[in-house]
Amino acid sequence: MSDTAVKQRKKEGLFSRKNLRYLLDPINDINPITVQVLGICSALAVTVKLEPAVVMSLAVIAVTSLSNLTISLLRNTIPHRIRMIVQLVVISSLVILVDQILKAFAYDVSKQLSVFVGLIITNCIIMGRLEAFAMGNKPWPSLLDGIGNGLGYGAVLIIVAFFRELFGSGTVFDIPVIPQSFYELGYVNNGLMLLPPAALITVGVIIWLHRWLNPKLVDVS
Amino acid sequence: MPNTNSTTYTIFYSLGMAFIVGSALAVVSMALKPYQDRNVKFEKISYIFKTVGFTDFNKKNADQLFHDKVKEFVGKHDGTIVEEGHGTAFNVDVGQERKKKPADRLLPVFVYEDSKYIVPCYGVGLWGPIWGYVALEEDLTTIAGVVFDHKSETPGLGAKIAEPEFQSKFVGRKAFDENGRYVLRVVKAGRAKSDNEIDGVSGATLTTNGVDAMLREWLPLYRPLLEKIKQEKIKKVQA
Repeated sequence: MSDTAVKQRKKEGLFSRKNLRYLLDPINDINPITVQVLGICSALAVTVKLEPAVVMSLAVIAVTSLSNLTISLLRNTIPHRIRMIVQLVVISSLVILVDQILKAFAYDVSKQLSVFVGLIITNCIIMGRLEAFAMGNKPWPSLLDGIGNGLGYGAVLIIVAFFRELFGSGTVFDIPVIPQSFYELGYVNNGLMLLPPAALITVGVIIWLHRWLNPKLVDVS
Repeated sequence: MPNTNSTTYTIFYSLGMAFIVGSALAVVSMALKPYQDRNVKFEKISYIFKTVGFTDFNKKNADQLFHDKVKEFVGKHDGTIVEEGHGTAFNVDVGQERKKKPADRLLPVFVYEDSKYIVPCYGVGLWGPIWGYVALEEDLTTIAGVVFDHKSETPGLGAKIAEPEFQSKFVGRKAFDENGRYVLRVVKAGRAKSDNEIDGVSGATLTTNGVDAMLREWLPLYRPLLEKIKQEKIKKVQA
């Protein structure tokens, strides 16, 4: 009998290959933004600077993972007819929680994110994962799936924010990186990068690059 | 496992959920409230200190320093002083006062180390509220410093009113002429010609206009009150 067969009969490990796929697939193959094109609105809004983008990513990771976990734990008790309401209640309480915690311990950032923390509730990724995954899977895979989707979202957000801040403000994490001599030679920051359309263009470019690098995404249709 | 599709189950499930979630959020909100209030208070103190260029404070000693260095007055536009003492001006919300007619507004004034007069203002930018604090020198005319902040101006454009680069342009400018007439103008970027005109933020003309309108609305309102406070102070010194 081969080794693999023995392994398969053992109880599935916490980080078995299958479980890792739940975590890693959303970062690449089924990335919520570049492949599923969900959660675009917030990707446009909070990517002008890196710092808010990072905090927003952390907030979304917290909400996707915890809501996935909660719904998965409750999945057998939720009345089918009001399942979406239950999902929304879970999401919105978590978002309120995140918002309150930010206001208490990261006041400056919470001011920058202002209304967008509250709008995590409407982020399609979260409810999509609850409905598509957490309702039918055990808590641990659901948690991994939540973290994975949050990471996939955050990765794109941070890439977009990096380029928008670099070209729009000439800074990275508010530290000037474009040397003064460039400005003296006539270089100017690109104002368009600060406006929402630039995020759309950047996301478009990322989608294109992503498909070019990952041929699996180029489907036959 | 009860029948999760029955109506009774659904009703009790939703009631239970509402109760649990409601109480949990209420508890969290109560628990975090003191921290949040402290942040808001610290921010306000920071604004006021920043206008006069005082930066040597931190979260721990800000309250005490503010208590020692700053006197507070609340008055009306005709120069009457309504209240004075710690915690008076600090608790006036100019955002709320702005909803009243100018004549009815309570005007908070902060006096820093008996020499600089700091007044809050509140207005609207392009997307939402903007507010600021203006410190005037003892002549009640020259600007010692300003701090502006905003709720939702475009980052990188209008949001620049909250950055030192824009705010430092106000230092040393005259807000009033010899006759006490308000003369300061914040103009479209690159259009400033004279000493009382200040270049706005490039690419953010509407936010710039908001700053201009805000200062024009509030500074003249404060002028009689500031004169009164200054006189009171001189009287006290002579007495």
